[in-house]
Amino acid sequence: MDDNIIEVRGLKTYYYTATKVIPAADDINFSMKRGEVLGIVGESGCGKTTVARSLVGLINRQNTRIEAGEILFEGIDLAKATPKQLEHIRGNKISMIFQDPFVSLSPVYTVGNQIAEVMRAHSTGKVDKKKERETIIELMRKVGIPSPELRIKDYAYQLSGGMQQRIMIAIALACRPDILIADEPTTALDVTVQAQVLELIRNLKDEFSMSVILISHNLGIVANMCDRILVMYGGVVVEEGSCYDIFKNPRHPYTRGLLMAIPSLKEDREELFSIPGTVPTFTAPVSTCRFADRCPHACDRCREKEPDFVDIGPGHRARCIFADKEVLNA
Amino acid sequence: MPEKEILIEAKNIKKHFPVKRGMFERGEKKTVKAIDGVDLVLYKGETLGVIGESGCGKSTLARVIMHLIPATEGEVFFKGKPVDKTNIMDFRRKVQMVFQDPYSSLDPRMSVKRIIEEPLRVHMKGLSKEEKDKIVRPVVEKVGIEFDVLDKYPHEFSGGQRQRIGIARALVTTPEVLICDEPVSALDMSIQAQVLNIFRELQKELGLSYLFISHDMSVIKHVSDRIAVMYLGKIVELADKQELFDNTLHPYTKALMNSIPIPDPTVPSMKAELTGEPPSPINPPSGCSFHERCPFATERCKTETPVLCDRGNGHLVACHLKEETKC
Ligand SMILES: Nc1ncnc2c1ncn2[C@@H]1O[C@H](COP(=O)(O)OP(=O)(O)OP(=O)(O)O)[C@@H](O)[C@H]1O
Ligand SMILES: Nc1ncnc2c1ncn2[C@@H]1O[C@H](COP(=O)(O)OP(=O)(O)O)[C@@H](O)[C@H]1O
Ligand code: SF4
Ligand SMILES: [Mg+2]
Ligand SMILES: [Mg+2]
Repeated sequence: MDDNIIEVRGLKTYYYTATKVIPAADDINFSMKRGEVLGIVGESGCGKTTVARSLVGLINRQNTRIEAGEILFEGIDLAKATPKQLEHIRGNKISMIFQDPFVSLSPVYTVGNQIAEVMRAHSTGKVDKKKERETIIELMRKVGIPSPELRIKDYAYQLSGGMQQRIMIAIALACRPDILIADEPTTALDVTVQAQVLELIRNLKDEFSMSVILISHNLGIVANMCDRILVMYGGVVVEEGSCYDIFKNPRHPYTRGLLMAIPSLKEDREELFSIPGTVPTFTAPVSTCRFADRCPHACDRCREKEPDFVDIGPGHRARCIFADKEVLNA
Repeated sequence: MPEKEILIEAKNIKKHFPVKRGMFERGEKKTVKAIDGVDLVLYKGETLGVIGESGCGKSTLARVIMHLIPATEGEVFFKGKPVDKTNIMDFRRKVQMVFQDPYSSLDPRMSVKRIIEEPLRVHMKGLSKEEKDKIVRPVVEKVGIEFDVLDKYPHEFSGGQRQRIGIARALVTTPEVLICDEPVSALDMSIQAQVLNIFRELQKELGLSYLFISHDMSVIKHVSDRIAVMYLGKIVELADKQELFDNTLHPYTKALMNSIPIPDPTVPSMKAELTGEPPSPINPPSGCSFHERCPFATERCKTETPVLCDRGNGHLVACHLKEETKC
């Protein structure tokens, strides 16, 4: 495992509905080093949240199953861990923040109490109330809450969206996690506030020496924040590489299409490149390239079986039969 | 150069909503100043982009211009005539709206055909089925929906298709203006490009004018000829697109542009220049409503409200630092 803090191998998480089986995360492989920021990017429904929730066991076992795979973290396999073990991991080692802070915060406890709860679960021994309060205020100050001594008594509804997300981050950091999973942490926020919250995450990552998994549908955000990036489509990772690889030498037609489809601030294009068709949902098992119906390069071979990863360079690979071929440039 | 024809002119629009008082609150009745003195014109054939953060009043402005809600103050003119009871129907036929949410803006109980025909039932009563089909068919084909699938219901379509349906509905009365309130914000990235291209094509083909609202600067830059930047119920800067980018004047516009994350790891971007969030429009700050967050604010900014001044070449800005102009 060398210096990898977490290693995911062949993870499959499927949802069972009345009529079909949705392979929302289908053979996901990645590892992450300490201090690294890993981005997971893709359009809605591609499986980003499913991957994140699988890692920490926040899945509804009634209709959701981890079909296969390993999630190796500190010598245990989280894919097979008991609910109790997972709860311990979530309270101490891996924290998660979500898109909508208001929904995630409790309406009946003050934000101070909610931070305290996490700290108590984490610490052993007797609580020194006064010291606890100081620690909470310090943490609130760290995440950029003005006058935390007053805000500590506020309820979620009394705070703006940006402040709520800061509180979520404070709660997530209260246990000093090794890994922070941030699932679309700024999607509900305005851009000027988003820039503040992302800067906060970046600074705290260094200060707390955490690793961060940053999930976003926004290519600009992952370009700015991440060391490495996974691009997801239809439940699989279609391309994986360094931030530079993904943006400067994308080798999957989907990654390339997405980058061309977003309007650029730098240059004006009369017409945007657009990927035809709609974002699909698949039913297990899938036996074609998932992008084939929308891909300008698709051929019969793409529909025979799901393509394997093709290695392009160190740490850079893409799930396309043409990933290392010239034709993509045509 | 021929004089540009003005289609819509909004003069000193204000929209104040009363705030429900909490159980224990006393004193003066409060209002939300959602729009607080907005002037703008929309020229024939152009796209005027309106950008601003959540709550700055973009949707309220659209609804007031559309006369979906009454203005507290101010007037809207269409081709030089004030819009009032006598010509509102004509105005509504010529000026149509496209909404953000393709999920909730289409009635789930109506077939898509019925939805698209709805404006015809209002504005062109008594058309036969054949006459309606003759209008609807080319319109839906233009937005990329097959005529044969129109007996389906909205839930059977994807988000992008529903937005196309919303556009088709807006087009059946052959309007001259579309007011688009975040029309691509709910769409996936790959679908957003498809819909933006449709807007472009329609404009070229039909000579439409757009008032295009979005919170996404890259989208606004892509579609607009001119851009208006709103902050807390007011326009703080307005200019031709290129001018706005090359010669940004208002500190808020600058901060807004600098906070955009650019999808290129080799260019530095996304600086958190501002602290805090836009203040509440219930109790807007005195003076310049941006002064509490503005890195350049002076004493004067705290007390005196800057007015929107023309710096020449139609570049308007409301900031005391950019004084050397006549208004
Ligand atoms: N019917 C209403 N009653 C009271 N306040 C309202 C009403 N409609 C809007 N507001 C308030 O007016 C202000 C402007 O709202 P508006 O919806 O126009 O903003 P917006 O710029 O469209 O925001 P967003 O980007 O979130 O869509 C907000 O403070 C909002 O809460
Ligand atoms: N609780 C659930 N039950 C059934 N299907 C689900 C559930 N959650 C997600 N899905 C489906 O799984 C796929 C991936 O969803 P998700 O992981 O939420 O994607 P993302 O976070 O990338 O938007 C989608 O097709 C979605 O509809
Ligand atoms: S495998 Fe074929 S269909 Fe899939 S992305 Fe590559 S070229 Fe396109
Ligand atoms: Mg998600
Ligand atoms: Mg709005």
